[in-house]
Amino acid sequence: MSLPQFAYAAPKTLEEALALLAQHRGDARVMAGGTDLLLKMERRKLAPAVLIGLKRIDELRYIRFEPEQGLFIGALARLSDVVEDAIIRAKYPAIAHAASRTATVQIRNMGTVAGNLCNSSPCADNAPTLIARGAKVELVGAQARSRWLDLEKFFTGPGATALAPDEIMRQIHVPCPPGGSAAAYQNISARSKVDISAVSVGVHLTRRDGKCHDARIVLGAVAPVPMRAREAEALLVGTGMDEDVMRASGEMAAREARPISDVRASSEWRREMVAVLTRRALRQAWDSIASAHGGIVNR
Amino acid sequence: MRKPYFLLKTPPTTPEPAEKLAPWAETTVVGKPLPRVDAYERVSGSAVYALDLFLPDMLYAAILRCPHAHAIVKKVDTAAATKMPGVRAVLTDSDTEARIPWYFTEKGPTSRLFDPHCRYEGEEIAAVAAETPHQAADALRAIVVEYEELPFVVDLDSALKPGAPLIHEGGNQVEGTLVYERGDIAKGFADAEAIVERTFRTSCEIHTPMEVHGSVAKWDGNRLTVWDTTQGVFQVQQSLADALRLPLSNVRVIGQYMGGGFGSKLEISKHTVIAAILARKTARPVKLFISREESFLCVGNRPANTMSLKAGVRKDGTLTAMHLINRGAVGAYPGWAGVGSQVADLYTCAHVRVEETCGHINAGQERAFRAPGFPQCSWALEQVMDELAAAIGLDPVEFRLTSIPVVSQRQGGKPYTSTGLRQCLVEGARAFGWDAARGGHRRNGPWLRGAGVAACQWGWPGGPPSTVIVRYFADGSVSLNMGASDIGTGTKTIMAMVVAEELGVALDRIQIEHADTGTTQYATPSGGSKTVPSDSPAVRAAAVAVKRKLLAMGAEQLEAAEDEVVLKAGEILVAGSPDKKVRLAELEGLMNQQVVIGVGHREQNPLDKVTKPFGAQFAEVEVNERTGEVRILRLLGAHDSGRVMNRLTYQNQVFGGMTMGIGFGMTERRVLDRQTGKMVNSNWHDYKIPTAMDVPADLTCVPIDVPDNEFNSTGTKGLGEPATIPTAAAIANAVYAATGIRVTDAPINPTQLASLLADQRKRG
Ligand SMILES: Cc1cc2nc3c(=O)[nH]c(=O)nc-3n(C[C@H](O)[C@H](O)[C@H](O)COP(=O)(O)OP(=O)(O)OC[C@H]3O[C@@H](n4cnc5c(N)ncnc54)[C@H](O)[C@@H]3O)c2cc1C
Repeated sequence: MSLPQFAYAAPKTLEEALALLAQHRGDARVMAGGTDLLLKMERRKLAPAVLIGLKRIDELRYIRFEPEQGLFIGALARLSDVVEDAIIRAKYPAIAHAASRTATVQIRNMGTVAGNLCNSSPCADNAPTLIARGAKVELVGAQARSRWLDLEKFFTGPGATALAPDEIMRQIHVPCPPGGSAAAYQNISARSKVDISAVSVGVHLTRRDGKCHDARIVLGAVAPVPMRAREAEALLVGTGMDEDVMRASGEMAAREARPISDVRASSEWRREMVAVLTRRALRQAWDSIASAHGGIVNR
Repeated sequence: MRKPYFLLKTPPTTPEPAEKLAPWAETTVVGKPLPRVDAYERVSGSAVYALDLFLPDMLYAAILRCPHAHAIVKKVDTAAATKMPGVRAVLTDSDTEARIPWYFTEKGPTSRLFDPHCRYEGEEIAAVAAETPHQAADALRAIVVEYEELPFVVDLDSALKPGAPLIHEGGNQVEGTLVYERGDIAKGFADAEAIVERTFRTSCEIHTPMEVHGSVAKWDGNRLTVWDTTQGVFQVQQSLADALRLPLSNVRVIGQYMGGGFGSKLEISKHTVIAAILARKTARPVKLFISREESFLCVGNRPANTMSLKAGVRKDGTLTAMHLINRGAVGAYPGWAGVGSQVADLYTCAHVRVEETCGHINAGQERAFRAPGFPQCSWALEQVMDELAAAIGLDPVEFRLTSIPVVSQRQGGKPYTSTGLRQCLVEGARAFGWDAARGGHRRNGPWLRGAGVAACQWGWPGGPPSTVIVRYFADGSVSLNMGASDIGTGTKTIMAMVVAEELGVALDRIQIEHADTGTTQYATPSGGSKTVPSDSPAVRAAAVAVKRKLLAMGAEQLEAAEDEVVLKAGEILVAGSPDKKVRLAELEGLMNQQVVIGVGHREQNPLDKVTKPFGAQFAEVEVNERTGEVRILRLLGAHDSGRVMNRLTYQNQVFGGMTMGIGFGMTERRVLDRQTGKMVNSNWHDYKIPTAMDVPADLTCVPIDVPDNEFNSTGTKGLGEPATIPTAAAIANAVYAATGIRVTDAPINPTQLASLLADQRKRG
């Protein structure tokens, strides 16, 4: 299928990009890797008059870690950059893992993490872990107006976000993992090994004195936006995280989920998988805290 | 329009070769694992596919398709489109030259090129030729069509109910239920000690070859040249000549490199004729390629089937009766969705009844798809065989071995020219480690492990007509001229190896001209797994004809009798006199003529025998009892396809067939929305064909290398299609071994399997 006609701009600075966006108010779109955007345009779901390519804006291409503040992922960091980044792999392995579970090599070499979030698909693979880890996103508008938003509040519906038409996501910030904490990501497809997730789960756990001190469970692809399973989280806090607790939490998460049936999977199966994947992710995160006991994570 | 070769009742013939060639006793080239002769061209990108063709002044065309499942076109307004920049022609049903009958039954056409009665989503309404592909696409959007939407039906059960929306005036059932019967099934079932009866369903599968369908058309006066993505240039030539009322000799179709078809390119598609008409109208060459999305709708599919199979067995393993009732949806136009042949022929069984009914739905027409009907039948038959074996306490391999026929029960009890089914099962089981793999249930956390087997037979043997010319030049290089297409299977490589075998010429000294109706000899389309068994004997005959002439020249020069001389390593020698010899380069006769030509024809098949390829495949899987995910751990294919001409191309076919079988069994499914009648997954994102991630690294090919010398002079039978027939059933049987669950509906996706596993847990 062919693309609709559009004009293309390739600014070199964020400022220029923002000015262009303001100038074409409502009729322009920014493009990072284009792996979501161009498909939507081919299918005529979007037909912006102007595309503003971000790829030449070098100031947006970075992954930075600051010991006091945590991780900053620039808007042009590609999925494959995140997969391969040594610091992310060491300190935020679940975030690297979620990026590695996104799409295929070819798509990961083009697509960005920011694009994955801004596209706001309910099944975006990178959202659950980032939300579970308490990520915030920086949105900038014309005249360098900047605001920070909890990623959890960023998604407002399938394909819809808190981004104003003249705003660009500059970066994603993930705080330093608290001592004695770990995260995990699990996803599954019902159709084949290369597919969009039919269900995904990101969890974050903090352990104190052998007990679960803090728990966050985020479900993907089972509601209009990535959702916290708060009752399932509540079941964990204060427990020793034995198998029964994790199973009960998984089943609670399954009850909280609001899946639909579509071409990818049935709602029944999705609900069942929430239970399975939540339990798996909890076990994985808890075990990795235990195995790092006395090590860097716990200090 | 002529019917495709496989629907012809009496196949055409070519003249019998002058001599009956004895089978090769031993070979020096044939059978070797040699790489493709065109590998460099294919991987370097220098091979020119039809899509790569850019002719001076060429226009680009595109087709407007009906967005509704069922509608009448009331009005097509092309005024705006005609005036758009770059637009050079617009074609609709109001152009008389486009009023070409299409989709034939025995009684005649059922539709035409741009039929205002659109019976499926994707049906052709208009076409545009423009200076650029984008201008053509934009112009399509500017065409205004007024539709009257009609009620539609997209599943066969509803389509065959009284009161269903009518797709054709005569009703939705394709005329005639086909019944095959031998013996008396009532008697057979009365004799049975165990009976199994089940209903199986398979999904509609789309071919999706890597290369989409398209044509480039160019006129020189009243002569038409078409570069086409086809499996058979002569088939397209014939259809174009019929459609455009041209002599065959005025139509040249070229299809040298092509990127897969799997049956969807066996026959002509409308876009080829549309490209030719637009090229004539504009007096410019026209390129018309359909998009990937269009290719899901309008160039064929493997129809969905519902098969109820009942079978009876005695405790000693004797099959007493089989009764198959099959229903298949052919789509909106004439077609056939029969599956029954293996039920009637694969195993020894005295009492068999097969009833097949086909019907129309509002969806694209079915087309032959790699072993049409056979994987579907295998899905039902081989799962029932598995269940029968369990019912009488026999190992599934053992059980199958009790029922191997040496004659074709379906074709009048004629003996097979060769049958390697027993070796496929026995040698396959040995190589697979079948006994160990079957030993007990094994569990690994939530993963349950099991192994399964399925056997198969394929229907089309191949045969005449085929004519081939081999030219031997003065410098000892060779030109091989044949009409057959190499659809990616290695046809050119194998045919060159046959020439090399007979003439002792190095492969890189052989050039191949092929798949061009203007310059090469007649061959049937490459389909039916019959290219090697049909055309390699003709190639051999042509090479031998050259050899005979060279030997005659040598005998004359050496003053010896013709039966005293032999050709060896580029020299003609006189038997028994070591110093009487002449190098071919010094052969006076050859120098005088500069070229020696041999014509070869495909000999007739033996009349009193039947030829079929056989195979057996083995699968080992792990099933996750909670998620329903299936990991295919390994697959093994043991095939009897006569002589192995080239171990590498042979293995390619077996691995490719098994990969496609994984798609059929595990992931592939056309989804038609009952609310809109439209396909919801007409793209590669949502229609899942297996990728490298879905295919196990552990694939094994076990060739049963027994030449079928009674069948033809190269001892070959077909392989490409049998290799995909039993895969899905073998996987389903392995899933059963792992879980105790019979998955009757293909594909086995995790959603279905998880819910079956949950039901099983509930039952306790
Ligand atoms: C074959 C295929 C497989 C895929 N598989 C997966 C998968 O398994 N999991 C998954 O989650 N996704 C998948 N995707 C979707 C897609 O690849 C990812 O969402 C990717 O991360 C998008 O990034 P991008 O840079 O290409 O975004 P783009 O397409 O460039 O942009 C996406 C959207 O975000 C907006 N946008 C991008 N960057 C910014 C910014 N900095 N500020 C404001 N708005 C912005 C764009 O305007 C657009 O609306 C797949 C896509 C394809 C084609």
